[in-house]
Amino acid sequence: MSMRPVNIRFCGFGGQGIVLSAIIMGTAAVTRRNLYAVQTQSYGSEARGGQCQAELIISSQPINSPISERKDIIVALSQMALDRYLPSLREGGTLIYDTKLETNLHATSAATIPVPATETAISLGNQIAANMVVLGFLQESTQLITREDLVQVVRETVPAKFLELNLKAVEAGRQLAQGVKLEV
Amino acid sequence: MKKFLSGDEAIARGAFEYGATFAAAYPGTPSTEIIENILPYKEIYAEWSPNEKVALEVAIGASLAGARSLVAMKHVGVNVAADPLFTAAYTGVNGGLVIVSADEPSLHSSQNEQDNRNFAPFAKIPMLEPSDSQEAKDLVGEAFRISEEYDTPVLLRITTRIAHAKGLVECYERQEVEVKEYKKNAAKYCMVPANARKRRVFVEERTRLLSEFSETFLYNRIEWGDKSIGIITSGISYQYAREVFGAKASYLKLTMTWPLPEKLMREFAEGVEKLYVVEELDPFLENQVKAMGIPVIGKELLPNMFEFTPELLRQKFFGVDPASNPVTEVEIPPRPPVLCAGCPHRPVFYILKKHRVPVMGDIGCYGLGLQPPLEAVDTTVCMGASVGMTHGFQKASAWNGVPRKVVGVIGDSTFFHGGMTGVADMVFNNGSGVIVVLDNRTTAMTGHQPHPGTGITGKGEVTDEIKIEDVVRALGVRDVQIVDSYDLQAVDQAVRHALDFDGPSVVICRRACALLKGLPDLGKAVINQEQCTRCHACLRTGCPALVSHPDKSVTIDTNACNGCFVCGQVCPVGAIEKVGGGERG
Repeated sequence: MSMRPVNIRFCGFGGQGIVLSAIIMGTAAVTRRNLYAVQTQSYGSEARGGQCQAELIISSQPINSPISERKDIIVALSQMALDRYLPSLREGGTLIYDTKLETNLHATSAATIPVPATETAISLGNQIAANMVVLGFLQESTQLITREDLVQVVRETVPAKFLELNLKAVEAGRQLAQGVKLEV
Repeated sequence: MKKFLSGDEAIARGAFEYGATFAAAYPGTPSTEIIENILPYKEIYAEWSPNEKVALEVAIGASLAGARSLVAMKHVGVNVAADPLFTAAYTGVNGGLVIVSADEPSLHSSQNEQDNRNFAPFAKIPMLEPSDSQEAKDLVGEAFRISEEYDTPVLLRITTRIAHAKGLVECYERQEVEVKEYKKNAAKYCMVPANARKRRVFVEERTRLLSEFSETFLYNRIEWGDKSIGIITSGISYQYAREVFGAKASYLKLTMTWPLPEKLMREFAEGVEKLYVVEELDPFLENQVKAMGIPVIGKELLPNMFEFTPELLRQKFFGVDPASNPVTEVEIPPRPPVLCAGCPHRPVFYILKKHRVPVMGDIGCYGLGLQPPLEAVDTTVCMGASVGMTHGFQKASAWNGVPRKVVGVIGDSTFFHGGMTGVADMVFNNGSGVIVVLDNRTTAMTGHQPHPGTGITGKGEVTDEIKIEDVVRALGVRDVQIVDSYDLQAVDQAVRHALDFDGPSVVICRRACALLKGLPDLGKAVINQEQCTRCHACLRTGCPALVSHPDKSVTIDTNACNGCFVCGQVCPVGAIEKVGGGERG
């Protein structure tokens, strides 16, 4: 499989599982798809509830810099993060945002996809699984990794007591992506 | 087996695969995750030491005992450990000894920015620099090999982007390495002048041999591309250069960056038309190239501070402005970090501000005590500095005829790291400073590592808890008070008493970090809107759980509130109630 590098940025509040989402997707790409991936993040003395973002690049070729200027896909789980990181979306890129946001899209000309991630997670029992809804959505809409890859890495990563919730959230996210195809 | 690992995780994996049986560290960003990921290996003894100097000393001891040993620290930690480092360079090793220095260009979580590559020539030890997670793991093996073959500690130098970025790492089984036999050898290990003079000569000869090794070291390599531009680079800068220039330049990727492969560098320089050095921070490689008499462009083009990015290189090399985004432009206000909701440091700073005394700060979350509205901290220098500075500030003031009280604030882990000797000094020299120990029962800033006062080791074993009150009493402090940080009145009274006391005084403000796991549920604070006069006294605590609305009303975000009830204690009309939770433990 040959593909050009796909640059994804996950952003939101600390505690929303932003970094974990990037790590799960990257782990699936590297350990199960024979792809290359690099992941980095901003951090610092940002407390819980602070801003958080994680960058992930997936490619069929070795990757140099873990930092890239323009993203193909931005996943925003908070308005503040959307405000801050939307400028890093490349022309022709896609913004995936949680419908729970106040949703000021700043009249962007980019393709925008609303995903009711938090709402869906709440209906499944806990809003902390919103990131898993997004991961399910990304898996299905990009096919960068398979459903089995994602489920397997989620199984290996999340604590046992949240596993069932997280797997349901992944499935729900996949359902939300039915018919959505993101070119990568 | 492929894994998706950060540089720190890869170094931990390297310690495992290449037969280390010993590791030590004091936590510090961005190095903390190295030992955190070594601790679970049952094959490796690992510990959190009280500071980096001790960590290196125990690793030197372990190396002497024949164990492959790894010690990890952040860049400023190497300053603390410099004393043993410079003489371990003379004694050499028995089991391999690797010192990881995790530098932090851009000071994401540090008090300064320093380029620890300078330590390699300064201490006269070899240095390796990985460019990604795979190399980070592989180079642990190379470093152990070099250490044992050349009888030297080896510096493995990484930066934040290597430490914390994840990438593909091919992993293997552990190679068991036999622990070497210890033989008493005073001429080698006992650095008194007569022996050290001989080892001094050995060190120079070792550096000469390592220079030869560096010429053929496989990780130092030329990657020929377009020869009109040649780039000498190392570490993460190599990745950025490749990203920007691709095949339109040739590269000399240096991995052993001390001692340098002079012949290889000359060969590369002769093969290209225009030579550049791309390196973050100091002109470390550039100065060496220039000392060889080779013309090169480095810091005249690229900054000597802060992290690079591919974007920055494009801008500097091609004059491309950081493209304004064609899709959207957004202005956003900056949001500085604040103490967490329920942080036990907040009430102490709230009281200290009221007393209007100079407050010498220290390294930890409580550095945030400088932010408005608390603005309680006057200075922050380095681990443990608050105690010595308090003594010096107080003494100099009194000596020069402006007697005044001075307060130093220091965390529990920082107290064990570098505060104890300062207290001894204050007692010894008849000081009269007030030391407030912000005892939140953990090393909070770096993610809750245990320390000598927690009663538990890094491996999770129960151990004797060293009590700070016992330590300061043993050091001769007669006025020692212990209060609950959450009890504003008690903190106020204790501080007032300490300020009035003639002589050294210690106030231990004790309350666990609100983010520690397993704490009792303290309930939530709720504002009774009918009673609230909208005076905003509560907002002066600076708690992020308090939400101020345009109509001047204030509410409390119950998701963020940790139930410390400090806001309730400052409310002049008693409009804040506690809902739920048990008794305050």
